[in-house]
Amino acid sequence: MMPMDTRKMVRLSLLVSLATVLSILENQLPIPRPLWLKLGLANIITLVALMMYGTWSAVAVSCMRALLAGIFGALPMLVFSLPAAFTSSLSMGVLHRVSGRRLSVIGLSVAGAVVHNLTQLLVAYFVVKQLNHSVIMALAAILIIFAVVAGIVTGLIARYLIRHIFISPTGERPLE
Amino acid sequence: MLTRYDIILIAGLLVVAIVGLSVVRFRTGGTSEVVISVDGEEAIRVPLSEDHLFSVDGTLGKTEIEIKDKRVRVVDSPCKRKICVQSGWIDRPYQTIICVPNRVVINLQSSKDRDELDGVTE
Repeated sequence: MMPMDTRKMVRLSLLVSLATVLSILENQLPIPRPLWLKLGLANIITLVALMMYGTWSAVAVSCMRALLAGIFGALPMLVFSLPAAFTSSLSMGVLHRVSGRRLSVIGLSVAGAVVHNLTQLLVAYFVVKQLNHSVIMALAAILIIFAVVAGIVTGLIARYLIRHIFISPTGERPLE
Repeated sequence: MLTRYDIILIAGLLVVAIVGLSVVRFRTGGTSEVVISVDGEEAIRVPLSEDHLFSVDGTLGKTEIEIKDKRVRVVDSPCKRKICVQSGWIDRPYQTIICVPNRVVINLQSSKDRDELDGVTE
């Protein structure tokens, strides 16, 4: 692990705790919905970490959040949440780097949400062996649609947050 | 606010999803069969048109499954969160009820699926 200054470490820890709380809160919301239907509020924080400190910080925040939310929430769900947290944050980081500024936070958020959902579907495919391909395809299509909607919503929130609260430590304003 | 590339990304994803859905819909048809599997192995396969009350042995205990009026549901399950029971009735091809803790999967398949197989060895 690369050396890390204290300020960065503290900020990242705060982001992890924020994301964990959002994640747990979201799971406990007393709104009737199927269990798998979530906005992915914690992704807002992953996006903030990505804009402040780059890909690996975003991956770290996302995975730590999944671990902690798993420990304080539903531990068996880690099988689904941890791989999804890893792939979605990594894909957002890679896309951010590859696309330069061409994809905005909203685009990144949508991409992350889609990767998140598809990773969970992939895990489900391996855990539950008896799913035929039509089921997988239908589920994938539906999950992509939900992910696009959820990604836009969380992306908008993240954009607002980044613009109004966070300025990157190098003095750069990531969205302006 | 949205860049051009954001819009291309979102539109592309939606197109993929819609094409996927229509392909599935196109392939769906024929009569439905209820396939109940335990721990990845097919345990029961019956037509959806017959009423039944099954009790299937999973890893935790007995899952009770009801087929009535061309619909299927889980009546009771030994699992903790009862997601399978809350799933309610399913009646359309490719709908699924899954109980992960008890390793029970209920699939509605179209009989067309089986006809498409090239061959089966026993």
